Amino acid sequence: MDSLDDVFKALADPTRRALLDALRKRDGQTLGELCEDAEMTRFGVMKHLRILEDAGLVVTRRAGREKHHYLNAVPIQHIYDRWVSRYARHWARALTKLKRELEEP
Amino acid sequence: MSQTLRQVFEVYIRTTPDKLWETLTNGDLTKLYFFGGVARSDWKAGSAYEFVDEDGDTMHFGEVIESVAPRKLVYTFNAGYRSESDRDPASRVTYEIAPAGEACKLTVLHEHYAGETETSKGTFVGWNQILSGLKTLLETGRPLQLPSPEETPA
Repeated sequence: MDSLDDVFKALADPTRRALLDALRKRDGQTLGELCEDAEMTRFGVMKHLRILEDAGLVVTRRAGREKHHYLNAVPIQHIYDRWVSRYARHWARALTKLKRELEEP
Repeated sequence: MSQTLRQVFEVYIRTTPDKLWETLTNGDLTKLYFFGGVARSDWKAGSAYEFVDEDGDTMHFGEVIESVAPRKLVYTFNAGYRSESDRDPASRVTYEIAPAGEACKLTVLHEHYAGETETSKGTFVGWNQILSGLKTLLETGRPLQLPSPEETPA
């Protein structure tokens, strides 16, 4: 189950962030496809994917013999919501007000 | 490689399958986390459903394909936002609910997109926000409350 610690630990590695980037670009890739772009062994990629899966950042689905990997950004959104979203409306309001003031003759 | 575009989201929520099902299907609850969208349907297979905004205008709509409370719900998804995405063909949404200790694992599959469409770009951002808000609502009993302009001190 994804805990906050697992999410931050998983993100604190450039290789794992690159794997998330690869899925952002093309979701649902297999291990083989992800290995093509990664400069490391198949075992290395597997190990990193495992950490991303444990953190809930990557979700897998099987289709026949193939396992597809999907980017799941819900844990990141949850972190964002915790510290940032609550202030979003305030900011939006300030911008709306500014727009009104600038547009008034 | 050749499989059609699909998005998969997963979230663990400390709640029961029944409560989660209720929160996914009851319009009074969906409006608290689904961009204000009120779900309307009897959620029986073959029935129509729609999500409407506070003015009663359709946000998205479709047909219920499979409905097994409180485990699985499948429906077609047509965008009705009066934008470019409305021209995209119907895609398909599946909710899967599985008990996981004291929590539930909710998996959302959105698939059968006709390639990368306006709909698929929008739903990737949308589902992440919706599911995070749903988790907050069920675990704290309160929606992800953004203060309304009236409540915000000047």
